[in-house]
Amino acid sequence: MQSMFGKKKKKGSEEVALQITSMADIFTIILVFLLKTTASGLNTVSPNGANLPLGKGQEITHESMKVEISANLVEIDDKAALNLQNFDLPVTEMQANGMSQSIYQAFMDKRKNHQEANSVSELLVLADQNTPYSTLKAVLASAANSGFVDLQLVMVADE
Amino acid sequence: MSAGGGGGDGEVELNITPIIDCFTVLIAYLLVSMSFISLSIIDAGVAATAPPSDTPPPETVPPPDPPLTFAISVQEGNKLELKLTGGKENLNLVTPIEALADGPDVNTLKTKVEEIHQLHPDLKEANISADAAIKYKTIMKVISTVKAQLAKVFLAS
Repeated sequence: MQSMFGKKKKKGSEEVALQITSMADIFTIILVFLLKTTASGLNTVSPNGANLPLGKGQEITHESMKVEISANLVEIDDKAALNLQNFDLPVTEMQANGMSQSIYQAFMDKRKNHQEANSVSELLVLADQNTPYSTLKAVLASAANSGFVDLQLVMVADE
Repeated sequence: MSAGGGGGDGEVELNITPIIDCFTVLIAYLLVSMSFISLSIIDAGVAATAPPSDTPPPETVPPPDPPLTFAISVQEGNKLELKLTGGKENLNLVTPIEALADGPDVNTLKTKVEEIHQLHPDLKEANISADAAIKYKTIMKVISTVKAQLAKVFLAS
């Protein structure tokens, strides 16, 4: 390293310092970026700490509305829809047709508030790998009843 | 980050070469140890109705050719049950697959789905259902296996 950034000698007697200040600046920026990315990489994928299952699938080609299921929360487009207790839905939530009233309402609100949501039926599903099927089923039933029937089940790509 | 200058007559250069050395090592370490997470998706649909149950339908005149349906049920203990019904032969084939110690037997499932797909090339979709306690990662394993053979997978809601 010393040879790379060290001082160059002219043919004559005077020493000329190589200007490495700007390189130090660049390195600092890269270092801060890498430290930040390393620290928050997983949180970007699932802010609520949902451990997505591993698997092989297609690449995500376009963004669509997303529902995230973690141990204690169901979120729709980063907005809390329902609190869970260790993946269990509150008993009072369940409707006769198997859907959850709060989650259904949150989906319908999305449809009302966002013009683009009215024309799409695609939904990204980011569910924790330990989510029981009963909870998943209730979320999917709520989504299906509000028109989101084309599911895109998200996994961490298994390299 | 700029190097400071001296106050006197001669300019004093701050020696930042060791810092650059440290930064280079740190950057190299972070780049190597970083795990780049990439996400992938599997397309699935929501089945309009529950998969066929064991209870017989009410006595009505059946249509001439009931549609060929393929249902996979993930049962307690990660056992699988494949159910192929309908079609020209009016099939009602049930194939159980025992679980392995670490989850469902996806290799046997893959073989069976391949066999079924070879015998019935018109079959393009499967309905997947599971017991309430079955975990999502198990369901995803089954879906991934089935998706390799069939174009569409529906989850029973």
